[in-house]
Amino acid sequence: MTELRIDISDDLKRKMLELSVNWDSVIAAFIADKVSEWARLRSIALKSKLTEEGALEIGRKINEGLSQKYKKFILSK
Amino acid sequence: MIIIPDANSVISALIKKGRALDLFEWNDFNKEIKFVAPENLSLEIRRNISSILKKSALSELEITELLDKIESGIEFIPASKFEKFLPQALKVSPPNDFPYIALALFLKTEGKEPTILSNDKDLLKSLSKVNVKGISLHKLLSELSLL
Repeated sequence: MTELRIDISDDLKRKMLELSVNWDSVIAAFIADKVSEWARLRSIALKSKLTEEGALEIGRKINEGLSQKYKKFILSK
Repeated sequence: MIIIPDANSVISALIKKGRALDLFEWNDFNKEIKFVAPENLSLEIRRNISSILKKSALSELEITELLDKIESGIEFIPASKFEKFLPQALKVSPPNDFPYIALALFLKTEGKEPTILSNDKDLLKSLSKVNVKGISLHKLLSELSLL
């Protein structure tokens, strides 16, 4: 185990003290969840076969659809 | 810092070892960038899931999980907010990129300094005509010392 020091505002400290919560556990769980969430997302992306060219092609297709939507929006006004 | 990511910037996060995912991950922890985008961007990305499926070889569930997380860090702005700027943006921008410029022009009237994130050179070049900043992913990562 290691210790983590964080800075918080006086106002936040006051509000935290109003609650009977074990903040050490809350913060440790939050960090663990966040880290494992991103580890999982990274492991998904690592399996991807998408290339920069492919992303550019899809991006252009999306932009085309997007601009059509907003052109229709302008005409409807 | 307010950043408007274009479609390619979002989709690039699905590239194996792509740096765009680094950016969204970094910001999920650091919250230093406020990402904003035209609201229909999310809908259009979802309409193109089949193309993403084909090119990424990921499952729909995996793609959705990645996109949901990335999009949770983006504020989507309704057209009603920036509709006034759509005709002006249409005149100066590359044909399919005007919604990003219209959103940037709207944000500027709100006293904000948005930057459009894109790797499209034509789009980045057109921004000087409307006094809107643009940046490539590589340059942004470098400015944030993430390279």
